[in-house]
Amino acid sequence: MFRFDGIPGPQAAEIIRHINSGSTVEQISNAVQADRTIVDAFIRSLIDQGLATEAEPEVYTGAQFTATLRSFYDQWNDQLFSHSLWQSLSLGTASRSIVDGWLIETYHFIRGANARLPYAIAHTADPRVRNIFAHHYREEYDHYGFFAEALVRRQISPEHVEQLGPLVGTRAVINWTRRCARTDSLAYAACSGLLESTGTDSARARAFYRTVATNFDADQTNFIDPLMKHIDLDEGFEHGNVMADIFNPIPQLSAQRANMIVQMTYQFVETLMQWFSDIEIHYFRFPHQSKRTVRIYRSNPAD
Amino acid sequence: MLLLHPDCSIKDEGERFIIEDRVIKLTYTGESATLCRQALPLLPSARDIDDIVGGTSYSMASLKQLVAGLESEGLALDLSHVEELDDNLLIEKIRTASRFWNQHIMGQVFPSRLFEGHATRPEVLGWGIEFYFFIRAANEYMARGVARDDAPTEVLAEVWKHYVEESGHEEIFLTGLLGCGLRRQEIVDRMPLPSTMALTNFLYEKACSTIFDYLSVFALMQPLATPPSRSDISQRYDALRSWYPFASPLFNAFEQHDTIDADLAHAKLAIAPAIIWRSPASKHERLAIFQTIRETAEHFILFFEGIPRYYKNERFLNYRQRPTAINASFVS
Repeated sequence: MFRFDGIPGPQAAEIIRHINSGSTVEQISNAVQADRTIVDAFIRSLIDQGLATEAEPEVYTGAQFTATLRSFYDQWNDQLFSHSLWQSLSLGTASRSIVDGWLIETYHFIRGANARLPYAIAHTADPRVRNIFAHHYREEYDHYGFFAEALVRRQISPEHVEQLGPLVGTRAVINWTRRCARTDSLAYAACSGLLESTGTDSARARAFYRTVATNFDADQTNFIDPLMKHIDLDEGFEHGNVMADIFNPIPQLSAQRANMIVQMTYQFVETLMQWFSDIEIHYFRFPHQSKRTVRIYRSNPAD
Repeated sequence: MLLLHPDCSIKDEGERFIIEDRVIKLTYTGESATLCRQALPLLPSARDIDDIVGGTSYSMASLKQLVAGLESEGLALDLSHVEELDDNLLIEKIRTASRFWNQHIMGQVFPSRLFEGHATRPEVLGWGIEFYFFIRAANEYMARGVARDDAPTEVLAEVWKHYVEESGHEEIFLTGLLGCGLRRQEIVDRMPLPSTMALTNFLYEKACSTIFDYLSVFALMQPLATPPSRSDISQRYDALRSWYPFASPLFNAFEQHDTIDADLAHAKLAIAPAIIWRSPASKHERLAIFQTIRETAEHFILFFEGIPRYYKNERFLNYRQRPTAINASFVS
């Protein structure tokens, strides 16, 4: 948290907005109708605190951009896994219905790899990148089976889950990745890289699943076992390196394209956060029921 | 499939059986109450009306009468045997389903607050901004949806024209937002909320699918059988302007847009010519239409939910940072 005095908040926000649009100090001063010396002093203090830079590159090498994405992934994963859904699963405070919901929607999401990866392959013009996606897909397409098995062990029918279809938030995640895939294959690669970045720490993932088993498998269904097998398999494939394999050989990436990719990946983070909230809100109020024929979304009955 | 409205509650008070939502309260007594008591708990697991009648001691005729009464009040939706409906009845059922799900959207917390005059300034203007993005997205999803020649010209001509008439309407809303003191660049370059993107991406995906899928989404958006009159439209926006005077230019834009739509008869059910062309549509196609209408409603619910979640204060209204390769670590 940084505090700046001597400049009104709205004016400071306006200056920052102009900084991000690449304007000069003079242009900013004119636009916000502020004294140039004040604007200059404010920008200097932002730079001194490491909050702004005058040295935005015009191009990035693929390796530079890989490093940039990796540093963002660390921060974004912290943000994602601090969501109350993950906290409640880790701490054992989630209700049974939320655990079911998390498993059901994860099944849809993993099955949804078939709706996004081949779509990305079909929309990628660069044969090198396309081949990497195709290789990734061949190793990934049937992983929903692990989650189907986990559902069965928890007495939830995957056929019934499919009949009800994914929650809106889950569909939003799949549809966002499809949007990236048709917009820019590298934006898709960056989003996919974020998902795979969590898989690079297998020990942490196994510890998480063990905690979930301890907290939520009193009936000893061993529903976590197939998910552990999934980690074993993914570990062998090293999908955490796919993003780097795609970006590293790229000689130059314009700042404009790099910014667009980062923005689309950030919007993916927002979409994932929305997904977690949707699971919590929906399954808290509407536990999965094996005989229900239609999902009721956001029932809001009169008192 | 047979659904009780998600927003209605049922109360069994012994002699009386009450079904109500925010608009209507139906009280059943005697045999009717007994029928409700036996039938309504079976609804969530019923595929259609046949599954229910066996669980009661009443005839199909009595059950149909109960369900028809509930459906006419918007408290139930009966999609049993939709394959048996002729084209006109199918079109009428699509309107019924659209009104049913539209009512569910409007019964959510934020739309209720918004249209009853209880939303905050950031929420009202934030809704205007996100609605602008939704209208702007017509150049994605409608353009994709009409990019087809898989039906006769007499069916597609109206579909093509519909997009042409909607295209460019985002300028109307942008002008309204600028009139409220918001800055052009801050609006047009802004990242839409994830909830708005969920809606527009869903519409795009439906636009890529069958003509029924594409046109079903408009049934939900335009559920009225006849366009609202100019005085209905003014009355609606007069109320909003009186509650939210700071957003008067935005509501002028909404009023202008609604008037254009009404004059162009956009309340006509866009899917009707396609249904007549495909007559008789298969059971699978019919069920898919009703599923798309429901899913469209779910996405509009998420769209509305996003607004109070994000537009909590003036700061978010005035500034939403776009992450870049340099500054993404500062964005939260």
